[in-house]
Amino acid sequence: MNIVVIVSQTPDTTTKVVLNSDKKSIDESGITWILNPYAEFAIEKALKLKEANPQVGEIILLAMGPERTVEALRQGLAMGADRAVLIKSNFVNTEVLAAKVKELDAKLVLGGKKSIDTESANTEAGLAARLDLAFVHCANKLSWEGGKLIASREISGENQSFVLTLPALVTCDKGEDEPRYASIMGIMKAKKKELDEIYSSAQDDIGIEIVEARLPALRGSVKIFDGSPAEAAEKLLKALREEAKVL
Amino acid sequence: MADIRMTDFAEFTSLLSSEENLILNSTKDFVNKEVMPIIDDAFMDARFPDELVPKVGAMGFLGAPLDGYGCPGLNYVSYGLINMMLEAGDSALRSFNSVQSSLVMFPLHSFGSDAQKTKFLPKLATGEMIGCFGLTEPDHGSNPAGMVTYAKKTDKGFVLNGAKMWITNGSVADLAIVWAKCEGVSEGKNNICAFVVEKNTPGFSTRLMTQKHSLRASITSELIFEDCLIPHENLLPGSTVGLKAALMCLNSARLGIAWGAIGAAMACYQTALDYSLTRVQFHDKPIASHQLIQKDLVDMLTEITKAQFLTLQITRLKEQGKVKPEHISMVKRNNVAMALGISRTARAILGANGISSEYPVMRHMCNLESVITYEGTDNVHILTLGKYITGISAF
Ligand SMILES: Cc1cc2nc3c(=O)[nH]c(=O)nc-3n(C[C@H](O)[C@H](O)[C@H](O)COP(=O)(O)OP(=O)(O)OC[C@H]3O[C@@H](n4cnc5c(N)ncnc54)[C@H](O)[C@@H]3O)c2cc1C
Repeated sequence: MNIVVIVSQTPDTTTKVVLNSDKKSIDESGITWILNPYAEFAIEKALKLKEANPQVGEIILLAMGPERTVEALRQGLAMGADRAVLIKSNFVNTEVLAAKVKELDAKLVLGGKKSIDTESANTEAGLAARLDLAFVHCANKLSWEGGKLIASREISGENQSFVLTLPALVTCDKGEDEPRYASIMGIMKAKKKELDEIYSSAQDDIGIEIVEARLPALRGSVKIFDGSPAEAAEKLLKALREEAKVL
Repeated sequence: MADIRMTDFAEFTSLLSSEENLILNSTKDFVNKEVMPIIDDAFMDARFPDELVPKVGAMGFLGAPLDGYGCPGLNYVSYGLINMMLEAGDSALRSFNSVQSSLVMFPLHSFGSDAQKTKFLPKLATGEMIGCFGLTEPDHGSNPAGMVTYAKKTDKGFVLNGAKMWITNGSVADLAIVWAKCEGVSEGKNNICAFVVEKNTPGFSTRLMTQKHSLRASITSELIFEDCLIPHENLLPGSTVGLKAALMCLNSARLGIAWGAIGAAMACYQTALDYSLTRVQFHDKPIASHQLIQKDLVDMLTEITKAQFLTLQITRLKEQGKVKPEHISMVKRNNVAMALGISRTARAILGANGISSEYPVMRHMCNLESVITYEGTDNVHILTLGKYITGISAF
């Protein structure tokens, strides 16, 4: 039984976004790309599921994206995934992804609950629909119980648990699973792991065109005061008096 | 404390392989999650954060450029990148790594017997064992050839007498690589060779050096040898070539230090940049809008960028077997002086906050005062390069 994890790459959270002169696209030259943190949580959960169940065969990372996405896949391989497939393309197409998932013989598909760049959560839902899979969104905990998968999530302070008969698709939140680091040994091993790069001839035909991109209006800077509530209040008062001069 | 970030003005990272970039990012994540939350308290309390030792071991940082015996066999650029990000956290952590990797594991790997390698290297790689390197003495620092610690060969083993000072990791070390004069055994001009001295060997004691203003999160100790008998097999066989064996260890460590200093400089620059953009003085404008502050920031970024490319090139020369000790002297000296200068400027940009432990700059500044002294002072590297250029020794 294989687990496929859908992976994407996003700009680092500290990236300063700069627009290109066409006012439609982002200047990618200064961007540090990282593995989407929610995909990282999904990889961690997949590794834990494999450690807990000898019936899990391979953990296969699957991404559809530009060439640079290789870096995100390598990080996942360094964390411990077994192999990876990159479908090279400048857009994501769930039909192409669905065909690949079928070919990889996955009983379980995991993904992040969203990507941190566009905050979208479309790919996995689209994939579940195309493959007609049971679908749970935003699971923060995954575990096995007698061959079935238990997926739990928190909703408005309430806990929901789903018992899933595979095949299924689950998107992941962080929960208590701190993603493991890509250790040096992991990075060296990942060098030798299989990373298939294939081309897609699919057309970007979803019919959406970006007309204009604008940076959000500048907000005043936010300052967070740390320490105990009493200490933080003290610092806040001082800042209001001495810096903002409103008191 | 703010997360550390990579300063990359001129696409330095585009010259790195994908593995090297992964190692850079993974080390950065590690430092942000494991080091930044505790390092300031450790520094203020003068505490070595030993809870990090097994963690850096599990990451594979210890002995990273060595092959076999549980070491990953990375290239030197990767070793440098690890040091850069560790020191962006704190010089103490990078010092720990430099000593363990370059000054303890490297000599065991290069000059040790098979038995010594098998016994010590795997445990040093995981951090189960800690090592230290004893070269400097109370009266012999820049000129180690003058050392007075000596070993006498007897039927039962070597008898060591003498003292070492300013030894990083000394009091917590399970083993010390100790350099001493040993007539009839060393083939070097000054009769120097190295021995492994294990903790709890009778006649071997350590004394913790406290009252430091610098590297407060690092252990610094004296090592004392009083008729300390160690077995014959504790001589590092390859070290009998003399002081040049010690210099090979130092060359490896110094390259790591050159990288580390860039990390400390990046941390200070980023802090100063962030601060200057939010601190408002005069005309309701951030201090970054003043020309004098902009010049400081531009100078900092320029120096960091120059150091990154120079250090990368010299490290690639090392990987190709073409590096000269003088190359390493140039980057050790340049980068540490550069980082120290940047830390002082950054501290000034932060005004009163510059001296506060809420920001990392004064911690880096104090640490760098050690880094500029150890592993060859600024002057010693000038003299090394001066001799190379002119052919005249001015020591
Ligand atoms: C925190 C810390 C950790 C350390 N860890 C270790 C360790 O793990 N192992 C170890 O063996 N050592 C260690 N050292 C010692 C360090 O390597 C020495 O301090 C260093 O080599 C300088 O020696 P010294 O302090 O005796 O200074 P000195 O050699 O006495 O020099 C004093 C000053 O005179 C200058 N000077 C000396 N000779 C000349 C000359 N010919 N021309 C011009 N100027 C000259 C020097 O540049 C310096 O400015 C550590 C030091 C510190 C501060």
